[in-house]
Amino acid sequence: MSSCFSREYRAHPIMILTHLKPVLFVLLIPVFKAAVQAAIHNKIDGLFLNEIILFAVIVLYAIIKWKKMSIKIMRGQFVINSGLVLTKSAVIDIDKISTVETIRTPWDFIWGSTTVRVNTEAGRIGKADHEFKLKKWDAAELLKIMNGSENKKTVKFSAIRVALMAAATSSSVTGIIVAVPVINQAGKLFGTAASEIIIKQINDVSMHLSRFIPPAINAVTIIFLASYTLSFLNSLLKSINFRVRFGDGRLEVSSGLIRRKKICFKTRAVNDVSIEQNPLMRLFGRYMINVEIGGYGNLRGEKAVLVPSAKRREVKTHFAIIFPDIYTESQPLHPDNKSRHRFFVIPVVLTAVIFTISALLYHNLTIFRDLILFLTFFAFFVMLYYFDLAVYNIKNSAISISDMIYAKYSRWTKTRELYCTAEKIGMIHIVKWPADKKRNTCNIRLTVRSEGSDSITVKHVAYQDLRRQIENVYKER
Amino acid sequence: MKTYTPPKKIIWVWALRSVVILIVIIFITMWVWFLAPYFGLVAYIAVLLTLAFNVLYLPMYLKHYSITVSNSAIVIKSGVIIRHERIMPIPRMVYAERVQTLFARAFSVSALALKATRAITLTLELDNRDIDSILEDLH
Repeated sequence: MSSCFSREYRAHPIMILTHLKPVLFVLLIPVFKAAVQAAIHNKIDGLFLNEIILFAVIVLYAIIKWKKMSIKIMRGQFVINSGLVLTKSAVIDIDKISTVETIRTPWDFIWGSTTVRVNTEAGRIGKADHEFKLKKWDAAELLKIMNGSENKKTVKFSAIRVALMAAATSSSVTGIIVAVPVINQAGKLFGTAASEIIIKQINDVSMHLSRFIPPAINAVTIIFLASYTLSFLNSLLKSINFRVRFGDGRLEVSSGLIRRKKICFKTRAVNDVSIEQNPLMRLFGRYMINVEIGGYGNLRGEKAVLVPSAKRREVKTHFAIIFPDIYTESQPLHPDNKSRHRFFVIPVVLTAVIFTISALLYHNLTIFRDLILFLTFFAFFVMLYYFDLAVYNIKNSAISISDMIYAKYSRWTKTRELYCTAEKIGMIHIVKWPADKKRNTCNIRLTVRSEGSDSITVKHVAYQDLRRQIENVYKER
Repeated sequence: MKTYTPPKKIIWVWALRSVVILIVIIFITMWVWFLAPYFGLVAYIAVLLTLAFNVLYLPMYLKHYSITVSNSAIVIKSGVIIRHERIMPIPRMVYAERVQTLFARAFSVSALALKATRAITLTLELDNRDIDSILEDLH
């Protein structure tokens, strides 16, 4: 973009409603006044007139506020003027912008508007630095200016791949969070106790499942399964039609069916890139690529998915094309050969604890024996997975510290490979347990410098070799 | 390297703000006076504190306040009893935002919000020309 380029955008008129929303509470003042009047004097005066006057005032306030808002791009800077009582004028170098995100909901489709979010690393976690609505064409033009030339390669991902990612990243808890307000609202709308109807349905289904799952568990299982399905559908609708465009050091990720979202950022704004696999993806031999970007906006964490689901070879190809500058130079360090048994310590201890508690409960609580057996089997399956992860860490965990950082380890239920440049590392934390003394090994935790402080831990690596690598990189700086 | 200090008219901006706050406090105190007579004491204390703030503390605070902009950093010095010196390296700064309230606009002064990763510093109001000059230096 040339330095003399200049363009000014006005906010979409729908922003009048956005400005109106936070001040609607003032309409309650005449109601309170009327309530006090009714209680003291047993009569109400001028309620309607007061409401009309106040409404006119706040509408006027919202219109002036909308009129005063402007978004300018000039001399390589982004200038956002906003506010009426408290005016703000933000001047942001375009180079300092982390991401520009556009969202089109069905509401936006009706009014021909687009929500635009501008994020920098200075913003608060979970909140966009600047959010406004522009006309559809203005938003498209703005995104084009921020996104550079049209000469970009596009990669599309099929619905099946997106579905696998949605299935792998969905959780019952998310489903419950989505479902509870919906059920409550539906109940209010139709004048029925929706929750009672749902409980009846759960009871009916659980009767059929009672042969396989203990009665005390099956209702809970059904709730979790139903919540998981809802979370899956929610995630699928948000992620379907997933495509990534890249070139000129910029990336554009777009997704969504009903709510279409586009986000663009420079590859330079990426703090770290990780190739991840969660339990379901491990089962199907698929991987996903996530990037962590400073100031990613009002999404959970600061992660953007670049490749939702692909085979190992495909992931490596995408990685090399999108991030040609990220590669590992030095030989990675692997866990010390004679410390490998230590990876099994936690799973073995946990299994022993589970076995002991289960045996005690089985012996003492005779009426809950079926339930205890079921839960014990479930816990053992989880522990089997953790034994598998321990084997994975023995075979695969690695760390390499040079100008490029590379680390590979498991985190909770996921396996993870992290890549970033040495300058993006905020903190290196080395821990030596008493057991590390004999073999002179250590655990290392790398924290990436960003709002969300992404981190990875690699265990039982040789301390001296690690120190040498760290000194080689950071002594020169 | 340029050093900026707040203009004298800032005192009037703060005096107006204090008066507005004072009116609100007195109004609330009068409203709840019937509950207990000693609520009136709150109004007297508020008046005394406002006077002390505007006549004694604010002029001294303004005297010790300065913003220095160099090629490498912005240094903000402030404080009367406890002195503060905040240094924000310019490469770490993400962007600056001009913030103006109604009273500040009437006196042609505005504050500056300096935003870096995980840190926001709001300066005291300076003359609009000084703010323009700082913004020009920063970008």
